[in-house]
Amino acid sequence: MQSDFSVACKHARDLISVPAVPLATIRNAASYPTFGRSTRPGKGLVAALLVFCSIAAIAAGAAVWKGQHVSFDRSGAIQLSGDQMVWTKNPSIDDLRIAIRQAHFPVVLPAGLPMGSTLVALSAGSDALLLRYDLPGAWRRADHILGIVLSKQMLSIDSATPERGKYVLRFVGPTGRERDHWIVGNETVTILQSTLTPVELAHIKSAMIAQSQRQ
Amino acid sequence: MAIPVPMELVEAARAGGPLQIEQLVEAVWPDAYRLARAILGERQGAEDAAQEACIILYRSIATLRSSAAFRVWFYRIVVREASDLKRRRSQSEPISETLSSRTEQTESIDVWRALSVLPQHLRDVVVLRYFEDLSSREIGFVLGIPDATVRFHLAIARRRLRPLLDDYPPQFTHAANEERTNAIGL
Repeated sequence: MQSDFSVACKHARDLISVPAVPLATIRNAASYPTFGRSTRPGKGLVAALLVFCSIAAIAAGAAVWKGQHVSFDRSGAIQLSGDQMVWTKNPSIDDLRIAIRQAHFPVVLPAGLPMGSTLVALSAGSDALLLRYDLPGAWRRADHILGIVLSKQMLSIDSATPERGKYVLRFVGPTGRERDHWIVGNETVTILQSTLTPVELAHIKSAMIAQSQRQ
Repeated sequence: MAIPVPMELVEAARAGGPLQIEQLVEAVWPDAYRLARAILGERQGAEDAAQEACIILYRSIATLRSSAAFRVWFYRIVVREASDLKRRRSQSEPISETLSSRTEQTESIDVWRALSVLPQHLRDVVVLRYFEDLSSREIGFVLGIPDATVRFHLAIARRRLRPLLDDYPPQFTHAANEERTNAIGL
């Protein structure tokens, strides 16, 4: 036993084994706009999202898809179906980190979003992540939510009818329709309709592609 | 002294080059992790807190006004992130349970056990003083409290730890005397 508390503390400190620096994760997260909790009233958000689920599990805050299937119904609205998924309102960076760890594909997070964009909701499953952002700018007030679906590349984006008995998250209204999609690495990125300008959309696309190349 | 980061590296990172920032992150990562680990007492949380601090560093290094302030600035971020995480994870394991499982570190077990009996605000002060070698003034900057309060907290912590640390009297007592001397302005 050492006779000096100060030396013992330093010794104890030196004995702590340090894991490798997660540089890619840090770089990735640092290039990401804002993870802060939204100060916007939830009522407006809920009204704008127009999201409903066929099962009340969502209302419990922890619903349910596993092996998600991303598809579009006849109206062009996106729908996700599966067995297990976790929905979080105003997610923290920890929530996002957990979702990324649990994803069965290398997640490339959205990048190049307009400055001041805030993540306001996260639906996370093993094969797909749905992120919803509150976009900045007073001119967008009527429609300020942007939905981005990140899914496994192998997941087809088609108009197949979800399997019976599966939980389904379906979006209605204009914000539930696909605006653009592309592939980065092993991930399919689907951008839903929003007030993003073409320049902003192109910036997101190029930033995500550049980010996936860095990874 | 912890965080032995070359000033040129901090200067270069402040200039905004991503490569330099990443070099800086790599340089400070071990210290950030160790400090977070000492505060939180568990591996996963420490990694998360250190990672969070490095993300803030990555984003905000350009806003740092003076490279000389880097050390205290970064310590402050790490301590804040670790404390926030600890607050959020009220169900986390106590330090003694987590660290006493490290069988290879028999010599340090008493230190961790001693720290585990302290409340968070005292533990932070002790960790910064004895693990990181910060002065009372620097600890005050890091924690955002007056340095007189730091000395007061250190005195209370030492009083609580003394019965547990009978094996460490000489310099521990010496340090206490030094702090007392500083406190009365001698």
